[in-house]
Amino acid sequence: MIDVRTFIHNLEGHLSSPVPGGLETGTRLRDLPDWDSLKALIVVASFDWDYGVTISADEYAGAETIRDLYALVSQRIPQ
Amino acid sequence: MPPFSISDVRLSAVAAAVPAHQVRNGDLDLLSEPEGAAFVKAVGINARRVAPPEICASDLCVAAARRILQVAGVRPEGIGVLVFVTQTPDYHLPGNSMLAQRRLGLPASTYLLDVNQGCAGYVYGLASVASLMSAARIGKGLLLVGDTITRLLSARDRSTLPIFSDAGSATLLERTSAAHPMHFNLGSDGEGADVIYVRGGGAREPFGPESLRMCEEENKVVRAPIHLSMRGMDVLHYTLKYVAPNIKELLAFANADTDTPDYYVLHQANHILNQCLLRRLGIAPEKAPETLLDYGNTSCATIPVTLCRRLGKELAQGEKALVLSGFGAGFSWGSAFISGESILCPELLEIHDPGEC
Repeated sequence: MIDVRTFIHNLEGHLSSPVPGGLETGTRLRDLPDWDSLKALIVVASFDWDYGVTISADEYAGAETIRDLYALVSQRIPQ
Repeated sequence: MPPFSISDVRLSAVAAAVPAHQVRNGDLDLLSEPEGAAFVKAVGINARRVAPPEICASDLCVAAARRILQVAGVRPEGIGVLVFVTQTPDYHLPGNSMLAQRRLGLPASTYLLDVNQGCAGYVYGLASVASLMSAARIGKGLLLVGDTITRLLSARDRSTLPIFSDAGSATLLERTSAAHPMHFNLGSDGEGADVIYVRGGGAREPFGPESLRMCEEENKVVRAPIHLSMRGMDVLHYTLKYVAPNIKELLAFANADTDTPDYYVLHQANHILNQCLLRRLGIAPEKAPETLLDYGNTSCATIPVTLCRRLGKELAQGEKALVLSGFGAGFSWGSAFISGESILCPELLEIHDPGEC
């Protein structure tokens, strides 16, 4: 089971431009400045890359915060 | 359908043609400099080929077909079947196969078929031609696969404009008892019909003023019903859900393991997606040549473009085992395992004007 700090650290590593102040569990990615569909695609691809977990576009859209994404992904990581 | 094999047909030559006109994504107003850099890093596309209005899919494919008949020393009257795969036909009707037959001088007895398939179209086309040749004992067949997909793009949609590119191809198949079996594994999920979509201009929503009404879907994504739309995240999801297992199943059916193929020639969708797919399958990236950087996503033609641009010399020199895998609009996917004698792969053709076709 991955912890949320590592999850956030991995996520930041995939986003090419640093997020001011860093990401927090309550951060809403879609509210970040210059957020776009390419960055969203990179985030979803990173879940497959890092954890072997795929989520659908609807699941991504339903996740409000990084905490929600963590909950979604962490429960599906193969043991 | 379960995987299947065709044991008496070989793929003997492939040619591809692109328009000479190149557009660099760095020159697009749609992407700021940092956005452009992030795009090239993730999606992997720097430049694309865009056909001028006077060049259509049939022109690019016919140019490739003429080249292939020339290098293989095959006369047009020897062709018994022609299948044309495109989603950007020259006309609503007749189909491009008829136009190509006339221009190539194929006999009236030729079996002609048009297939509306997107990025899985090359593999679907191969399976169709090979099956027809085997069942009807046809000696030689042509598969023409190509699109001028840039015709369907909105100039104000950054989710599609920097991705798609134009190309055409021709593949010669020959029936011979000395062929190694070609193995196929094909599938589709119509639930994904609107993942890659052109809603307007068909019989359901006929062309009219509404077809051209531009609508802002999100920031810098402005398009009309007549334009192509694509939900990239769904493409990623469908590809990982279906294509990775499809290739694994194909390898098992062919009694091969992941290391057996010399190359995996994947549809050139985007870099990040293909990297995820390779990682899932445990395939080394050097076994999966890319042409995205300079040629973009040429829809159904990415596999033959990559064969000619990246593997032409090797395929001409000797026997290689290849996995070809296409996936996209539909949502459809298909993979083929091909081995056997050398494949003639002339250099990629660059077409400046229709006179060259």
